[in-house]
Amino acid sequence: MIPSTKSEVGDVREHINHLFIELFQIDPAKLKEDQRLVEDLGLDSLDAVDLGLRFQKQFQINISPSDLIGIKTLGDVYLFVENKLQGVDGVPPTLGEPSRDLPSGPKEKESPSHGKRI
Amino acid sequence: METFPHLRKPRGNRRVVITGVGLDIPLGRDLPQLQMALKEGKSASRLMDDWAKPDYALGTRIGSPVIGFSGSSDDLWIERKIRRSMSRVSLLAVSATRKAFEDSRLPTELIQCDQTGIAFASSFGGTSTIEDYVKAYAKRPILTEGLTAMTYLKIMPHTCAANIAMALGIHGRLIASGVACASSTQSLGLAYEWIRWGMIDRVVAGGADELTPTVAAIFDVLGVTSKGFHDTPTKTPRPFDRDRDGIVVGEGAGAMILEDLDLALAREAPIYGEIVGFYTNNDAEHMTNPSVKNLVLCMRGALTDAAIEPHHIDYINAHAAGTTIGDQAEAEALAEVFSCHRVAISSLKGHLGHLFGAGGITELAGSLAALQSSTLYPTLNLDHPLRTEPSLDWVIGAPRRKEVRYMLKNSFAFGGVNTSLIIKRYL
Repeated sequence: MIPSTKSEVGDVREHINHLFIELFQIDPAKLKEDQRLVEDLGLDSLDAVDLGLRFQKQFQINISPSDLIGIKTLGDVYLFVENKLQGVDGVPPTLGEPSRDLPSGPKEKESPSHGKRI
Repeated sequence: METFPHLRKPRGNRRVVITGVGLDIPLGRDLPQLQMALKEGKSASRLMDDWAKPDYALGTRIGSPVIGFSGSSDDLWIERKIRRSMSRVSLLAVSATRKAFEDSRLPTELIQCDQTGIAFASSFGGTSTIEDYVKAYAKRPILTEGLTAMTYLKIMPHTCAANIAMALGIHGRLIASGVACASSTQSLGLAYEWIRWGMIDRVVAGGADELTPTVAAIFDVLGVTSKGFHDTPTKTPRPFDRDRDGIVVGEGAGAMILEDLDLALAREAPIYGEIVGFYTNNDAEHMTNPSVKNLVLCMRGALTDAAIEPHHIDYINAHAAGTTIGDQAEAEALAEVFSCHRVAISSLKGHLGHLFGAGGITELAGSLAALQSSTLYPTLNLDHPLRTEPSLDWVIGAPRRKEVRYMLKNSFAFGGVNTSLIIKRYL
């Protein structure tokens, strides 16, 4: 699935919103681009694992834990998936700042791909 | 050493009391409801409608579920990040534990500290999570299909204990002694030993299990489920009865707060009874057939730990699940240990079915009426006792009045694990 038209891009974002509601019981009213995944939506590294798994299944895109580094807001998530669907590898250009070391967030010291205590 | 002030406390023979009870079980959602159901002679056994499905191929159709515990309405107080790692078994466990703490009237600062520990286990962990995975794999046979970040956290051996710690903010030592049907009794015993020897001030101890068709299938295959009472479900299980034909598989959760007596008295806590003896051993002979010799040793070990003789025991709450071999072995062991002393005996599995991880503690909770109100509940469905020695005083029919100072609780498990606990009326 590679979105090329405006409506297809909108569909992808709608799919992502549905996933956030289904997986994390997020209030739909909170699903705005500038919402931060950790601070505003309350997600953590374990949620990131499940999100990655669902993206792989839903959009047939391969995601490695390092792909998720730099994703901070819901808008970042939209761009990440859209870029992946268009065959752009790695972190979307808009997300490349080194300071954006999420999804672990400032209070989380764990790797996004692993639980706390293995 | 300021971080560990308790390690500087004098260690030794501290007295251990039960100061809180919490239940989510087939016959009630708290101790008064359980006591009422036992008083009225109610049975939790019921025909499980969907177990008749041909593809289940189950021999048993009777179970003992917790009705009305959806895992959603009951756990709304648990935020998503805590709830996400819980299978039904952990939801039950957390719910019962929360009630036990409420019952104990412990303030939050004494719960959320490193001097409160957890000894809590189940026989299986999150069975429904495993079933979900198997179903997903059957649909799409890829090994990772259906797995999520939560799968392991829902099925790991200490899933109940870890989720209790997370949900309630308990920082003390944690153990999950998953020893099948003896899980909760062993948890109580270990908690008693920790407190007694000064390792920790208080512990929430207990056990839980969730009921799914797979649980029924597992025990069906082992040949230990009741299959002959589908037309009269409440007539089974039949502990110690001549016509017993197996267990009724059930579910639930039970939790008790165990506490150092001095600390309990200092805060004027309610006291249900005092744990004065515990012993556990292993048959190491056969995985499922009990060893009478080791059951005898286990009960004698608990008596020795409590520094009392068999004639001091006024009531025995037996393990007796209604199996052909297990009940026979326990009765034989009881006849040997108590050969010189007529002692009242009953098993509450006739009312409750087999709650596995929650079994021992739930039966103990029901039996606390013996210490508190001199009430012995009978063994439901025991019409023709399998042994008739004068020393074995089977409690049959209506509840009986009898003053009880010491009671013995047995729980035995597949794998050869035996546990015996002695509780004394707190005066």
